[in-house]
Amino acid sequence: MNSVRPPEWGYSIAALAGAVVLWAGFVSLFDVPAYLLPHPFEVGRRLFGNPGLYADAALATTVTVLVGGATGTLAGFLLGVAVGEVPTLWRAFSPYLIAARVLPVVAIAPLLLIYFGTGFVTGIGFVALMVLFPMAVSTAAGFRQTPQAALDLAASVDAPRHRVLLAIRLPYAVPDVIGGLRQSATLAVVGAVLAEWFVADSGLGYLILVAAENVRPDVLLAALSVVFLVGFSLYSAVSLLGARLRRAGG
Amino acid sequence: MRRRQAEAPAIDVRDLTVRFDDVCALDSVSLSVDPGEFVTVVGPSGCGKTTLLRSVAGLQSPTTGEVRVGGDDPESAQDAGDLGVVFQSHTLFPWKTALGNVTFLRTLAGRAPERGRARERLVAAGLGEVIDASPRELSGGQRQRVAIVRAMHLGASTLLMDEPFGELDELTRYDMAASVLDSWRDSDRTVLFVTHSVPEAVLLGDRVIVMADSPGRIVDSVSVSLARPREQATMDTTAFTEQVADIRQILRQHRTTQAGR
Repeated sequence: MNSVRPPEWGYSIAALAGAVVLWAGFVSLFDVPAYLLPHPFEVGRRLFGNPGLYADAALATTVTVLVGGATGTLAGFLLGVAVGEVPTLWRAFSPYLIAARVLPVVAIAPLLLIYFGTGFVTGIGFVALMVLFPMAVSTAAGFRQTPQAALDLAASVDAPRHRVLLAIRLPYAVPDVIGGLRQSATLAVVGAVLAEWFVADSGLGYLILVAAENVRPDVLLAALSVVFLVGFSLYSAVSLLGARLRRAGG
Repeated sequence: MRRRQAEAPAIDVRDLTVRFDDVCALDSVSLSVDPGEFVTVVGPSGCGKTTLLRSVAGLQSPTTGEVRVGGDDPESAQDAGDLGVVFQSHTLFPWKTALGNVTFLRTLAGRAPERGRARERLVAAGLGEVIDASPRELSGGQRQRVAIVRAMHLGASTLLMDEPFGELDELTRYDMAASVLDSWRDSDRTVLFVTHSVPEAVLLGDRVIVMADSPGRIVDSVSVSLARPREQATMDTTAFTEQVADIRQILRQHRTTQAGR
């Protein structure tokens, strides 16, 4: 032990604790009624009084996030590689890939409902669509920014295209691909919660919807904090994976 | 390794013209380099010297004219791993060590990496301390040294260098030039070396090709009369200074013809 500096996460824990104290103080001081903003203890009591409910909901949401996220990021990655590698495809499709990012997926949800009904597949499709385009754009951008000198060097020994793709373009694209994955991690959670508003009868999104309809802000906030936890865990996992990938670096 | 025909020039450029849209980068350029010769190319920015080098490397197709390397077209030379190219910058792969960068070009060319030999070459180039360092831990000079070792390690008989010391400071660049001369002396390699520094061109070359711009063309070919081996001290001799002055004079003449624009 030669340092008195607290660890990085110490600051965020302190910030969270501070926010909870402020919240508790605000509620107690101004006597805010529980149907508007419950005391943090109330939310905690909800959460730990019936942990099974929240754990089941979290599990259902996590499955949607993982399956939909994996499908969407994989498809987005492959699409991005194709578009990034073939200039003609880039010219043809890049405007739509970029424009697709401003399209709210909520607006596409009714179409998915028509095609796939109100089941699991629609939720998966929704999450996948949410991450598909950002992932494709990040990947394509990564593959397109290989320095010209590196490509010239490969050309000067007539390196075969697949070797250039795997041994040069891919490693240069790794930081952007990781960026795409991190973005996807958070978007996938948002997508899953949104999807559950439309199609599910379980999951954290569904719980939030039911809580809102019954004016139960305590349940709603408890569910939200679990959403936060799920999203944060996923983001951290992807970041860790990314750091490893970057170290391994091709 | 490919066998060169004894008579064939190592590099043979005939009536090479390269146009980008309506800009004439090179206008009917002819150049012949003998096997084992060290030829340097000087000229102002935009005179097409890099285009000339890229054409020889097979990275730029001629609009008209012909380029031969060892009697073959540049694509065959690429395929045979017979062209070692060193660029000005951004040439090391950041995720590979110095050693990894040196062997990687051979891997790209589909050859055995020969790590042991690569190590020896790095040590011989004074890079023994940084064999396993990543490029960001190296100085600019060390990076270019690694890039040069990499081109040597490919085993190509022709080395093409495009202002390899362009981003280095004055002192480092003459150190580098001296070390290039050292490793060239021990080999039978042909070198085509592009630079905008006249002293560098004179110090290194058997012959200095002088180019002018608008359109890019060769205006003179000056044999360097300085004895070899040359080292940095060579630059302090009168013979050297005079040779540099001569070439500067040629460059100036061809610039004044454009001064009215």
